[in-house]
Amino acid sequence: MNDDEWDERLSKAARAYHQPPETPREEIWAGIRARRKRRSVLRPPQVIWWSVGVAALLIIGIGIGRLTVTHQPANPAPVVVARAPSRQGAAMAVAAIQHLSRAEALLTGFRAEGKTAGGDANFSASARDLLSTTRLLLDSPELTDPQMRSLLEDLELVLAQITQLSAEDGHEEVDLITEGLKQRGLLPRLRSAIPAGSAATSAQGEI
Amino acid sequence: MDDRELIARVLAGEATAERALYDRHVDRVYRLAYRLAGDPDLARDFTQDTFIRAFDRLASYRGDAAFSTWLTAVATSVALNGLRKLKRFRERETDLEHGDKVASKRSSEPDLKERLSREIDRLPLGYRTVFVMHDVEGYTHEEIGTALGVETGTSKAQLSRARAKLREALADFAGEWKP
Repeated sequence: MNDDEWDERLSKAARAYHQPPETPREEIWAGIRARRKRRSVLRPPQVIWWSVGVAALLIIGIGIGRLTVTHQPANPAPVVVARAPSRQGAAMAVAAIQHLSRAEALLTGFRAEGKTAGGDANFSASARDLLSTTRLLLDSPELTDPQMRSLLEDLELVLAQITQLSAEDGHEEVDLITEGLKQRGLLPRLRSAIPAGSAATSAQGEI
Repeated sequence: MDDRELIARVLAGEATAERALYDRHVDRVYRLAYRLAGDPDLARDFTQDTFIRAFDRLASYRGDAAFSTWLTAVATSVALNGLRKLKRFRERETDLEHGDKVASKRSSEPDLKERLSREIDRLPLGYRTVFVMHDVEGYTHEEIGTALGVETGTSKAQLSRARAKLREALADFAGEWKP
C-alpha cells in the first residue's frame, strides 16, 4: 500500500475519533448566560480598574518626573503630572507605550531564542506579567482605537500561548507561536505603534 | 438574515439576535471542541468560553473573514489553551505520559480504531489539531491557517508530519488495511 492509500484509509478510520454526540445546546446556552450574569455581578466597576491603573501610572509618572527634574528641585515632579492636560488619556498612552515596548522586547527575544525558548521559565514569567497588563488595557474604557484593540488582542493570544509553553512541549509548539507571530505581523505592528525614539513620557499612541 | 445583520443586531443590544447567532454556529464549535478534547464536559466548557469571548469581542470583528472563520479561530485558541493547561495539571498530578508509554508497548492491540485513537491522542498538540481539523472535520488548509494564525503551507506540512507519524505508529496494521 502506498502513502496515499494509507492516508486515505487513515483519514476514513479517523472519522470515528472522538465522535461528538448531539450538541447540548440548551445546557451550553444556560451556562453562557449564568457565567455572564455572574461575571457582571462579580466584576468590579470599570472605574475601579481605571483608578488602579491611574494610581499606578501616577507612581510611574512621579518616578520619571524625579529622574528628569532632579536638577530643578524647586519643581516637584508630581505637579507636572497633575497639571498635564487630559491626564487620563496621556497617562494611558504612556502606559501603553511602555507596555508595547516591553512586549516587543520579549517577543523579539522569544523569536531569537527559537526552539530553545519553550523551556525558558523567564519567557513564561515575563509573558504572564505582560498578559495581565494587556488584559487590563483591553478592559480600559479609554481604549477606543480599533487598531490598538486588534493589536492588543493579537498580543494577548500570543502571550497566552507563551505562558503555557513548558519544557516538555515539542519544537512544533514554539514553531506554531513564531509562525503565528509572523502571520499576524505582530512585531512590525508593535514597532510601528511605538513612537520612534520613544520615551515612556511620550503621549502618542491613540489609545 | 445573514451573519453580518445578526452581528449588527447583537451589537445594538438585541438578546434574541445573540441567541440566533449562537444557534447558527454552536454545532460547528461544539464538534471541533469535542474532537479536540474528547470529553463532553471539556467540550461544553470550551464552547461556552468561545461564545462568551466572541460576544465580548464582537465589536472587534472586522468582517475581513467569514464570521464562522473568526469564531473558529476563537474556538481553537480557547480549546488549545485549555488543553495545554489540562496537560500541565495532569502531568503534575500523575505521570500519565509514563502510563501511555507502558500501554503502547503491549504487543496485542485488538482494535484498530482504538489504537488509532490512542496514536492520534499521542500526537503533539499542533499536529493533532491540524490532523483533526483537516482529516476528521474537513476544514480546508486556508481555514486552518486562519484559525491557527499560520501559513497554509505550515498547515499542510503539519498534516503531512502527523500522517507520517501515524503511518509509522500503525505500521503493524498495514496488513489489515489492504483492500
